[in-house]
Amino acid sequence: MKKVTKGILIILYTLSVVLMATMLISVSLQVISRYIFGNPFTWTEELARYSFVWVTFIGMTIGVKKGSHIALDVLQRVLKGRSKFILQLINYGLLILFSIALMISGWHLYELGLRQTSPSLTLPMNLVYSIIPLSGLLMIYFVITELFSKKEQKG
Amino acid sequence: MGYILIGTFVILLVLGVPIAFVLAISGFAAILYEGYPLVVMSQRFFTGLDSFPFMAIPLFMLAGSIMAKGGVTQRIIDFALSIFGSIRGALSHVVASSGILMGGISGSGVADTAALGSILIPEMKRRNYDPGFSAALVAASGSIGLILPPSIALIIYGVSTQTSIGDLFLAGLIPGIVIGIGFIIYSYFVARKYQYPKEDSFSWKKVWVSLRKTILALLMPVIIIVGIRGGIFTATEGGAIVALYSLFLGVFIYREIKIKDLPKIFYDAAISTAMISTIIGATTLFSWLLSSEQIPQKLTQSLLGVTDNPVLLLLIINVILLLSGLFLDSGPAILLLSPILAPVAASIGVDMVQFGLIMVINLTIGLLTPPVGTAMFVASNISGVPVLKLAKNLLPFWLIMIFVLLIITFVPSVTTFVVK
Repeated sequence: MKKVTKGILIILYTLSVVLMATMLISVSLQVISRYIFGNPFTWTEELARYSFVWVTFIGMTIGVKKGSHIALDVLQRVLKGRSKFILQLINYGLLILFSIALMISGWHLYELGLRQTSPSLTLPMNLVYSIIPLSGLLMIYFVITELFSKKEQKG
Repeated sequence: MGYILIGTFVILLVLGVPIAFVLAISGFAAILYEGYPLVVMSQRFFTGLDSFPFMAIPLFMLAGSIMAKGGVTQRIIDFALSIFGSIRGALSHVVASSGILMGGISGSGVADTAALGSILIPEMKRRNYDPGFSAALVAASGSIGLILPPSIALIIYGVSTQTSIGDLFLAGLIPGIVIGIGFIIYSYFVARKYQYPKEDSFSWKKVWVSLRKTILALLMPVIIIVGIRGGIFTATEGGAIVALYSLFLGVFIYREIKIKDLPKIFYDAAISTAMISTIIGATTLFSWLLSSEQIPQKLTQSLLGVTDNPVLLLLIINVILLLSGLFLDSGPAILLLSPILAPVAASIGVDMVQFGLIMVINLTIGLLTPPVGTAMFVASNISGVPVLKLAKNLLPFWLIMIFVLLIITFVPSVTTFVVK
């Protein structure tokens, strides 16, 4: 289990680095192409936008694993012992609920994307959308492994 | 449906669910209740993010992340020390003035607080400054980054109200600097009262030497504003240019970044971006549902029904923003509230650039207030000063910011001069 988690995190790490670099390079190329070649590339903007969407979903998933999302955690800090534990369980449950909803909803979008291609790169849109159900799935995995490791610590 | 949406929102927020998921789950509940197709959820999420103007956020984040690793923070601090070293309470003035300079380079007030705090809080402790005062000063000075260009909050506001980001950036310059100067003046009185130390004698030579080391970094805000306002590039393209420029500085001029450090820097920027953009996606879903029920319009109408006195309305708007800032981070607050409040402001003749600054200054104060003041928590973590004690020490800083806020609110020309 630990190995799988580590493997997933390495893939996500690499992807987010590559996507950030893609954004930087393609937006820079857009400026350069406009001023140096006179006519701007048309594909740069689209590539950058889709990279941004992917970075968001990947980062959201990593954020769930690392607990780095911003929350109003007053209640978490006030409660102690058993009630705090129950609150955490509720929060994990809600996260799983969200991830399942995202996964199913993203799958429907993926299916819609089967019939579309992007305007300028002519990418199949289902490829672009695929990160949405995938991040839903990964978040479910991360929350569940987190729960198990909590249980192990307790037991 | 409105009740489901807002009810779920409040309950989940209190439970401590991350704000992005609070918005998304409330949206999900409303979709189920209305029987909308579930695909709407990821569709709205996607549409919200599929925006070229919003991409200014990751690129400025990247520039900030590169700067932080590239030794710029230390150079700015050295430069500030060369100027303020001979004045009583030198370190405190270094904090406030570095806050202004860093704010002109990075887009996030919280990141600035962390960068300044990790270097200067230990230093101030060593020189026997009151820990509460030091932490409060660092939090407040770092937060100015949210007002000064390139500000993530101003970008979000600009995109969501279709106001020129170039105008907003330029308009943010004066209030940001004035607030910083306010902090310096206040620190001077504190320093005299407690006899805080001077650091170093003043010499033009030292100023010149440290300025030469910093000047290329300090050019950054100039490049941003001139480039965007001059129509040379868009805000997003400006973000890419500044990121490239800071990469060049960090790798070739300052030589503090090695090629093997780059993946980690890009990764950090990706994660901090996602923490904001996830909220943007979720808020897009949430506000789409709100407006399908005409809720923002109704709220606007009822606000306008309270009074037609513009002064009173402006005060009410400020109070609403200040209270929302207590519980919401700047991103979601701007996205959720500008559709409601901007029409009210427009109806009494407030310019959208001016209103943007009103909004952002209010929410900057929100970075420094319990229960969710992010900058306050960062400073509390670094310094070990408990949040409540820190909040007490922040009171004078709130007052300074509120004072500037009132000027911005009631003297339009301070901000509207930028509008062509």
